Amino acid sequence: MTLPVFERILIDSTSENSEVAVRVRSLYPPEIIFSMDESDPSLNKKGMMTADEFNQSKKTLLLTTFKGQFFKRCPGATQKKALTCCNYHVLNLGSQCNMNCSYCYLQSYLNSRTTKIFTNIDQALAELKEMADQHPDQPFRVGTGEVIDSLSLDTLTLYSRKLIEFINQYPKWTLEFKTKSNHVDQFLDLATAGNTVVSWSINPPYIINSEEHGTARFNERIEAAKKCRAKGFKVAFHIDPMIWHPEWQQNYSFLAEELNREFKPSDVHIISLGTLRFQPEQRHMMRERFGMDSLVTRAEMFASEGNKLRYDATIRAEMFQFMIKKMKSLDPAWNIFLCMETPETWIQAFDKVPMQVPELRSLFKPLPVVRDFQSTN
Amino acid sequence: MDFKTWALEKKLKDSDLLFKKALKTPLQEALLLKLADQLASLNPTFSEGLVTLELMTDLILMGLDEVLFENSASFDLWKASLRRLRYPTTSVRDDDLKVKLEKLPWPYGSKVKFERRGDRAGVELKLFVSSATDLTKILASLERVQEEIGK
Repeated sequence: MTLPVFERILIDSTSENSEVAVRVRSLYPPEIIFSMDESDPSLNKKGMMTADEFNQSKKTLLLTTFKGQFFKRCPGATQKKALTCCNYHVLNLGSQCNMNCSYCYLQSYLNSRTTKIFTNIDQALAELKEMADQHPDQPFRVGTGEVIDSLSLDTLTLYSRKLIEFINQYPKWTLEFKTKSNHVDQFLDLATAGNTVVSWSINPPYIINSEEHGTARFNERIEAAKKCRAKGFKVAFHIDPMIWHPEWQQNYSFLAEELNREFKPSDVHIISLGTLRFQPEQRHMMRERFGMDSLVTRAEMFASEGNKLRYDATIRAEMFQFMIKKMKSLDPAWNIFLCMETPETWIQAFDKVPMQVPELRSLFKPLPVVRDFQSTN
Repeated sequence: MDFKTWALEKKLKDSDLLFKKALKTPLQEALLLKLADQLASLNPTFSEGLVTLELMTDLILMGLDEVLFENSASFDLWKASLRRLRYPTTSVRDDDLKVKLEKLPWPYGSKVKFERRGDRAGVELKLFVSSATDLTKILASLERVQEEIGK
């Protein structure tokens, strides 16, 4: 097993006796592990990070407990007026990422100087259980890869194992691990009730090599997905963010053909598409960290509805239409949807909004609202 | 007016110039200062000045230098020329779209102005209507425009 690289590992007093802390102490040399008091000011520095601080936050791991609500709706769903979003829910078991994609939205989202793993997973599971017991027959979809990669640090936490065992009890619910790593061996011995989806954010090799630093390479992700399929896990692919470059059609064609060659539509839960987008304030951090040689910093981006910077709407529609047409020409059974897009773009790409697409209707059907767990704690 | 005076006059703060942190060499910083002095001499507004300085920073980091001074005698021309350098693909697409849209059979007497508004490009159409007959004619023209666009 190759361990994720950290220069320092901090364990706060609330996590000292946690399973994760014990495991981390057994895996890393003691000279890089430090016990900290939870109130230590160095752990609680907040505010906008400089590029150097952001880089450093990837090298310092903090094991701590999370005091807020683990289980929430996906942030896209809070922009319902501007965007057409599916009913996705998130369970955040940490924050920051040990990989380094040039476009990563965490660059404008995080304000903590460490990579965090929350050690109180039992509380997260208790929140999930309460909601799942109330609505066992509703098709909730829960993902753990919003502010941390679901699996890139899983060899340290082994949280995937607890989550799979939990979700097996609620067959109508779906758990999604979203990753750019190839770390799957740690849970492949477990049985699945068919409701755990292991998904890869994927791009053509050219984009992975130039923009997705420190991630598993294209073939490694495909191989990991094949291993999951062989053990009965559903797989999914998020072709997101699609990045425009002069050879985009030929590179995204290659990606479509590879997916079609290696998988059947019945193996793949869903393919989602998204094009490059980021908050305007993120451009400074990206420019400072990656210069202007990156396809992302150099991209021609414009303010869009919802305030994010995006490609010109016509280019986005062209990219979506191209990819949908390509996948459907390879096999009409591919199930494709757009992530965090406006209704106008949906109509340009599909001639429909999602509720009018039979195979997508269930994803977009309104679900009961997640209650505020903190209000009763 | 030099950049220092313009910055004082516009009450510029360091945090307004965050983009400058991406410049890595003294040569790049000196080039931006030279461009900033020229920009200040044209006395742009606070926000136009900042947007242009950021555009210049991007272009310096993209390896451009002398070409950045082309058309620098007029703020509007200079801004347009810098935007073309920073957004080359979109500029070409917008030029093509402008020609295509302006050729359409818009209602007689209407004013058509091509515009980019954020991630969308299109035309702003101004019409004057004084009677129901005017409106009927305009709607008929617009139907022809719709047909042309749909082709």
